[in-house]
Amino acid sequence: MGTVQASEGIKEVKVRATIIRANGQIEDQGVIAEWDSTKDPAETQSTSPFASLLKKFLRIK
Amino acid sequence: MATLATTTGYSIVTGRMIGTSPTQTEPKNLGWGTGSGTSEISDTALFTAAPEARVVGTSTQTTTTTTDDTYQVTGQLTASTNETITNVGLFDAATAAPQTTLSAAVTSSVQTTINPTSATGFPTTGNYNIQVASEVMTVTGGQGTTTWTVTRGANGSTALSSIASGTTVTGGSSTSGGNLFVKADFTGLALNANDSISFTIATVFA
Repeated sequence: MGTVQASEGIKEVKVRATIIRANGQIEDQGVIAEWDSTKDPAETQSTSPFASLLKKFLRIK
Repeated sequence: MATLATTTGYSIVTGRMIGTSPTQTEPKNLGWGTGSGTSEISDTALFTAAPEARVVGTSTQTTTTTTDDTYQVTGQLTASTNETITNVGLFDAATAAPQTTLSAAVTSSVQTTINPTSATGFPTTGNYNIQVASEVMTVTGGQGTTTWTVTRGANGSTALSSIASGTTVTGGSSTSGGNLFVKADFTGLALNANDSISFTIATVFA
């Protein structure tokens, strides 16, 4: 069996937010939501099948 | 709370790779929503879309770890009324999804007829997905009426045994709302009318 190396897919999604009030006041909320497959492998199981599928089918050894 | 690239998001990625002029449009339209829930990878819609129109974001390739490994979209939405924003999404369509509510409860996970309060804005022919709470259903009959035949647990979602009357019903794939690429929910951000939020959504590939 040969070997194939490929990109694994989406690794991380990060959402930053800044509130701009009607009076011009700015409130930086920083990162309000984040998903990182390397920090949370358990969540990867349920939320990133794309990565695991590619690992399974493209990284054939 | 969760931030997810959805399963329909994966099809957007592969669709953008086909041909010199891909027919798959770029998922850079930001929509925001109210309500509560936890984002699921099977989601096709926000919890409850807020009344404001989606905005076309500005997309860039940026670097997180390796050169240009990140697809980043920045956009600003402005509240038309006092509201608490709890979720945001990136879509491949600029138009809002049609939205209604259930006029009668769903009382079983195998129930295949549901009743929307209104069919306005939903397709009148063809199959299309809707999201009701955390479940995605495919409407296969009764299009254009307020009695729909549905396939339960579509798009890998779990068929719910109970969904209350009044729950939001939002159009998903194959409706004017297009496809959901990324969805994030977060602790509510309370806004007054004319307040805005500037979002930066970074999707990192590895």
